[in-house]
Amino acid sequence: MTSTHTADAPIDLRDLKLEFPTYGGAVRAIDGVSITVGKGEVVGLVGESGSGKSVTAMSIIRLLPPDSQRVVGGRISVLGRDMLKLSEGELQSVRGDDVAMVFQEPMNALNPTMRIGDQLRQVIRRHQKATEAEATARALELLRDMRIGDPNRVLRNYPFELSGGMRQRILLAMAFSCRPDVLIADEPTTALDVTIQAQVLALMQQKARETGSSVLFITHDMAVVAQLCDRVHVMYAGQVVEQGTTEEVLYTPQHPYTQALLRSLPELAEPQQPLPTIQGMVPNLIDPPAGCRFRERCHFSHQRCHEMPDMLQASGTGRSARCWLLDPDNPEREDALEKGRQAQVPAPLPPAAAQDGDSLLEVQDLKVRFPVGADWRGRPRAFVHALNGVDLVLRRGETLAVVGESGCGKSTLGQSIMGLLAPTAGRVVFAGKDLHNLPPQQMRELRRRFQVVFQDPQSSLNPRMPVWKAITEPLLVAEGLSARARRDRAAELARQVGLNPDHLERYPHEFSGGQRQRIAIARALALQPDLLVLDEPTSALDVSVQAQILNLLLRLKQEFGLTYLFITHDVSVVRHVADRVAVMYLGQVVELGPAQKVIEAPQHPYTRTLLRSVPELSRRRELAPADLHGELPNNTRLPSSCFFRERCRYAAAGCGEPQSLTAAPDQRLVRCHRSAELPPWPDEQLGDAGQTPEIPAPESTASA
Amino acid sequence: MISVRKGGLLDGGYLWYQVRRSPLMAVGTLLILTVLICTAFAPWIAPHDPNAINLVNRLAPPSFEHPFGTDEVGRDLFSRVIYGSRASVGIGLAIVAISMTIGSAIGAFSGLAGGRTDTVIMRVMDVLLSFPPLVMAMALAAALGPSLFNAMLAIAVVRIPFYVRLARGQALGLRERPYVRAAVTFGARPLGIVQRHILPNALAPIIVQSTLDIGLAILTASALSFIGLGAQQPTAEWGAMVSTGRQFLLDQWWYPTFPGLAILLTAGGFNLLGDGLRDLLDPKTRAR
Repeated sequence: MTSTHTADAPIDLRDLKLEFPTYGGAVRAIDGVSITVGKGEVVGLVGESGSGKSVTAMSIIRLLPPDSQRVVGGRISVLGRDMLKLSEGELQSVRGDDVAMVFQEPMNALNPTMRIGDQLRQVIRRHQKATEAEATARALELLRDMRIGDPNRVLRNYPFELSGGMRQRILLAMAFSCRPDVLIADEPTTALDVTIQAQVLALMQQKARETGSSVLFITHDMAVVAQLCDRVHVMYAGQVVEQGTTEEVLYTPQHPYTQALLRSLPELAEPQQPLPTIQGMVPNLIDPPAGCRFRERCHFSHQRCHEMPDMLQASGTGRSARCWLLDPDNPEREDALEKGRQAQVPAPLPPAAAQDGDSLLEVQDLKVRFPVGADWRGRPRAFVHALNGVDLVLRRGETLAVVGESGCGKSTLGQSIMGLLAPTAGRVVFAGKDLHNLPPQQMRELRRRFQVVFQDPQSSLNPRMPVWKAITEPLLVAEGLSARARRDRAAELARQVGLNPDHLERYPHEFSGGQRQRIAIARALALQPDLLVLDEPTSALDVSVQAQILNLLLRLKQEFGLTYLFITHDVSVVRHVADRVAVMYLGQVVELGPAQKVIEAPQHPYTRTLLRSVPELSRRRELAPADLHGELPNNTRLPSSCFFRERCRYAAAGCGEPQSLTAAPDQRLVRCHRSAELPPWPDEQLGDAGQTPEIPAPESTASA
Repeated sequence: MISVRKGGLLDGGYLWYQVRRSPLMAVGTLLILTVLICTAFAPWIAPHDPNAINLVNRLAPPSFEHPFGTDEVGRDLFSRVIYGSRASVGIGLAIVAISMTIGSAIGAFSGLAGGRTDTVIMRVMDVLLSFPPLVMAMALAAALGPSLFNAMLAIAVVRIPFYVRLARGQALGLRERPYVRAAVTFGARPLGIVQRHILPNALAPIIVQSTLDIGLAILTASALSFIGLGAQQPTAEWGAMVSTGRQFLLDQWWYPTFPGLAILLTAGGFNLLGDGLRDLLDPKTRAR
């Protein structure tokens, strides 16, 4: 389905320009964006944070507050109506009736004080003529369509009683309640776990097909685009830099930015080797440099790039990119391609030193539970069982990844290991000492040997502390070093993590997210620890920045002989960084073994479900609603059977017993008595592996 | 802590941008500057000795010689209002300084400590809060004996729980921050955490609260003086002046009116400043 630039396309943006006035000047958040979404088409809009993709989406139905922004040029046409000329009243009838929107955060989009049923009925009756009873019947039907079990009960629930995936399905139900012609989905699955994401995406695709809606799907995740979208637009610094069909853009990208972005994904890289990164930073949109916005970060940049390129058509296709390399008459083209070809690919790391295998950290039958509420005697009403007997051994020099979905206990495990949380039962033994039974002074001494890096670089730094103080705070606390000595050490640490030592007087808000994460890593290194606990260190970062941080972590590990406990939900990151992986489910380790082996041939049914749900660039397959297998059970009342039984497609007799971790081939431990009998992997659903992406090395652009 | 770079608090252009956005804050700042100048330079501004009695010229209406008129013993009211700013504003600042320091220290500690310590401290504060503030201040001032200093102590004690609650709320939120947790992982002690992480980050709302409180403190001090528990004769203090001037309101309106106006404008000025500071110190509004 190639682009159809017809006037009757349901969404037709032409050369849209939009500004946010600020103290420092007007920020041109959107600068000449043209997007068409044809009837029944699913079009992706991808980009990193700050690229303007969400602003574009919101501006289509004029959702941005009128006094904070102004449209300075272009046209927005939705279903043939000029959205820039409609009154607020007319806009309201367009929204909801003809155009529906789904947002990222499902909690904020529902009214927390109203029952789901009332909210659904309200939406239905606002846009359609229906009695209360008819609306209820319609609401039930919608929930059933969204495969919500027990819809009668859900209608009576309040939003807080439902899980994130459930809420997002209800929002989808609401969005589809008026059979909209256009659906705008802004990162609707970003806050969800992969297994839930797979369910929601499948439902959305199915519903859109049934109703013939056109969908504009905003995301940062290329793999999701690969699964869902017919066409895709890539945004960078307020502009669309490339557009075309999904296959074209993802498998043979033309714009250097798209190429660089795809190459920085860990999914396609050699494990444990540096990822190609994008140098520099996104330009400031208050006063962007003249010419191509990507010029300063581009390996192919040449003289002509000082002039802003238009969207140039690639020969013979409907695709186009904002790059002079696509102009066959460009005299500098060959030289630029040659220059890009010679651009350095990161040097491979020397082979890792053999892990000497002695254990640094042992977790023994660790259990953590949290009390919930209190009855009249002050005793807890129930317990949340966060960890239910975790055993792990971390060997010196290895990277052990802990992977799982939210609620599986991986962060609780990290906190117990960091000594931030006392276990209910079991032990954490670090270098032969039981961490939670040490006198405070010895505990403080021991703490120096393991440090932590958190997910959100924004909140892991004190906003009112200059960076050099933040980096060396551990030295002040643990060694009482003088300010002068700490300053010297701060400069050294900054160099180690790739920060400019001249910027150490600055405050955290003056740095970008990736730089802040470097600061947090420098702080963790200050005491020269043996172990770093990395709690989702790249989850809050854009992929190009993630690549830089992963490279840094790999290098530091080799340089200082560090041991990593890497907590993450991202399977492609696990594949890239980990030596071994522990898959967690409901507070237990269900599978533990060499990372490559576990990912290539998972043996626990849950690991398989998890891997099957992970969207992959290389796999353009039908999203099968048959994959719907319920949600994480409530962890206040643990099942007496195998914890995964309810959701397991291989459940059989004997699964009623609690399972234990038993040895399996390839130095693995698996918590499933049927693991040896499971059908071979990849299983039936993955057989139809589609195209394999070949992100061209710079030279292959020449053939275009 | 305060950045002078572009977009920082002391960047002149940025300040002007804020003034245009909230002119009321500028008005408040001007009022307070005027009052502070009176406080600092009273002997040079005041045309007369505030305590010089001139029985011949008692209860004179405003004139060129006596812009605010004279009181019942012929003292120049203009000079007394200017000197009165020393007592009133001084007491306001002192009250807030005392209650803010003690209150936020207790509150930050209580929030960080949590558990039983926190419960005990907060219940004590609840008891203090359960009395109407003015009644409580009156009781304390009466018990300590009528003097300006005792009135100040009494009001400071009454204001402490407000700061405790504010600082505790901040500390409760801040102690969950990753940077506080990170500090725990490298072995920082609670006192160091409060000093380096909790207080600096809890300060903005506390400062805002304190500017709003200065006005209130001046009013309360004036109220205590008004009922005779605060400043004693012949100290020039606005509340005391209104109190004695009250009986002359019908025939010599100027006597209670000018000190009353001074209280009104000062309290109002601090309130406007506080409101403006709240916006200025909020990083979310500063980003725009």
